[in-house]
Amino acid sequence: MMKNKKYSWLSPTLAIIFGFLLWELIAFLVKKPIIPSPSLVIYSLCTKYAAKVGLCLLASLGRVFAGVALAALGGIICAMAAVFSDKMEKTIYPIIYLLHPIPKIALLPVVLLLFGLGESPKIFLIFLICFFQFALSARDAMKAVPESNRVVFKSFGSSNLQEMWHLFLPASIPALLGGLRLSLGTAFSILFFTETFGTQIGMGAFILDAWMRVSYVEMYGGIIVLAVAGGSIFGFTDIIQKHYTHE
Amino acid sequence: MLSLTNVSFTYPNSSLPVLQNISFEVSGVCAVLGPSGCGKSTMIKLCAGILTPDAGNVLLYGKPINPKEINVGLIPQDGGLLPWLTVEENTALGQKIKHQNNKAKVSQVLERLGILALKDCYPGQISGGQKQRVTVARALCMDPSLLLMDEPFSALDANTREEAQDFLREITKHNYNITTLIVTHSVEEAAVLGTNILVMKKGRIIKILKNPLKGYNEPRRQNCFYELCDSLRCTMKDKQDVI
Ligand SMILES: Nc1ncnc2c1ncn2[C@@H]1O[C@H](COP(=O)(O)OP(=O)(O)OP(=O)(O)O)[C@@H](O)[C@H]1O
Ligand SMILES: [Mg+2]
Repeated sequence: MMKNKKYSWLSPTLAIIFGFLLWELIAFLVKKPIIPSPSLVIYSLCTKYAAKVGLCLLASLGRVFAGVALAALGGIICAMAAVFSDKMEKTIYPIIYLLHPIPKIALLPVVLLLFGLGESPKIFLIFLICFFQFALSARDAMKAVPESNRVVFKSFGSSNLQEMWHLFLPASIPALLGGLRLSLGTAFSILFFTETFGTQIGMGAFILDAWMRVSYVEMYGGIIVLAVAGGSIFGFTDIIQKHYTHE
Repeated sequence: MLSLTNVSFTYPNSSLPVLQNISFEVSGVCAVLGPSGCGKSTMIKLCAGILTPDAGNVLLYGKPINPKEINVGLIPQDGGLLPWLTVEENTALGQKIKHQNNKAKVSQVLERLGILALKDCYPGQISGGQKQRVTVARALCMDPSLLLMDEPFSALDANTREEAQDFLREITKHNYNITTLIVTHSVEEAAVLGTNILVMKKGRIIKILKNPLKGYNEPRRQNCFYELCDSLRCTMKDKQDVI
C-alpha cells in the first residue's frame, strides 16, 4: 500500500514525458511550422505570453465554473423535487427526457440571438450541456439511496430539509461528479466555439487569434494550457469523489 | 411500556394486509420471532412512528410515538450506515439531527462495544459484524426511551453475539424505562434477551409468553433454557394457522 501511494505520481509523469518526447520526435522529422517542437512551445509560453494566456484561461474557467455551478444547482433542485414528490417527477422529467437528446450546439444561433455576445450566452450554453446530465444522474443516485437510510433519519425525527442536506445531497455527489466528467468535454468544446465569436478574452479567442496570425507556436501553447486546465478539473473531481466513497 | 391495540397495516402499493389486528402490551425487552415475510420489520417501522397504521393505535406510555419528541433508537435490518461518514460520525448522526453534541457519550458507547479503535474508519472498510455494532452504538448514543432493533446481531460470530447479547441485557437491566423490541431469527437469542417473547406468523401474533428465564444471570446455563427454545421452535413450526 505505502509503496503504491508513494510512487503514484510516477506513471502519469512518465506518460507525459513520453508524450512530449514523441511530439519532439515528430516535430523533428516533419520540420514544418504547423508542428513546432514542444520545448519551443513551452519556452515561449512561459517567457512571452504567460500573462495573456493566464487572463484568457481565467476568463474561460470562470465561464465554465459559473455554468457548471448553475447546472448543479438546477440539477439538484430537480432531483430533490423528484425524490420528494412523484407528481413533480412526472412533470419535470418528461421535459428533461425530451430536451436532453437535442445537441446543444444546435441551439447556439438561438442563444446568441437571445442573449447577445456577452458572458450570458456562453454560461447559458455550458449550463444547458451540464444541467440535463446532472438532473438525470442526481435523481438516479438519490432514488438509489437505500430505504433503511431514510428510516434511520426518520427515526431520529429529521425534517425533510435535514434529509435533503445530510442524506440526499451527499449521496448524489459522486453521481454529479460523474455527470461533470461526462459533460466537461462537450462543455469545453462548445465554450471554445462560442469564444471565437466577438470575444476578446478567453482561450477560444486566444487560440483562434494565434491561428489567424499563423503563430502556430502560440496556438499550441494555448492548446496545452487548455488541456492542462481540463485535466486538472478531472483530477479535482477524482479528489472530491474520494471523500465520498470509501470502499 | 409499549402497547399496540388492533393494529392493521397494508402497504399503499399492495392489496394484501401485512399486519392484521395486532394487539399486545410489553415493557422491558420484547423479543419478536417469526418466519421471513411475516411482518416483523413492518411492525418495527410502525412502532417508530415512521409508518402509520390503517387502524388501531401504537402508544408508548399512553402517548402516540413521535420521533421528534422522544428518542427512538432504531436499527434497521440492513443497518443503514452512511458510507461517506466515519464510524464516529455515523454513531453521532442522531445527535447531529437533534442538534445535540455529546462526543463523550459517542466515545463511551463505541468503547463499550469494542469498536472505538475503528472510529475513523468508513463503513466500507470494516467487517459486517463491526458494522452491526456501529448501528447498535448509533441507536444507543441517543439514550433512547424506545429501542427498536431489527436483527441487530445476525452477522456476529457466536462468541461476539453472546457478548453483544450480554451487553444489551446489562443496558436494559439498569434502564427500566427503555422499552426494547428486538426482532430475531434465533430462538436462543429470544430466550436470552426477551422479558416477553412474541411469536408472529403471517401478520398475526400467534403467541405471547413471559420468559420463565427472566431474572437468571446465566440464562443459557439453565435447564429450562432448552425446554423454552424447544417449545418456541414447535410454536414456529406449527403448520396450522392460529388466529
Ligand atoms: N415497501 C413495501 N411495499 C409493499 N410491500 C412490502 C413492503 N415492504 C415489505 N412488504 C411486504 O410486507 C410483508 C412483510 O414484510 P417485512 O419486511 O415486514 O417482513 P419480515 O418479517 O421483516 O421478514 P424478514 O424476516 O425476511 O426480514 C412481505 O410480504 C413483504 O413483501
Ligand atoms: Mg425484516
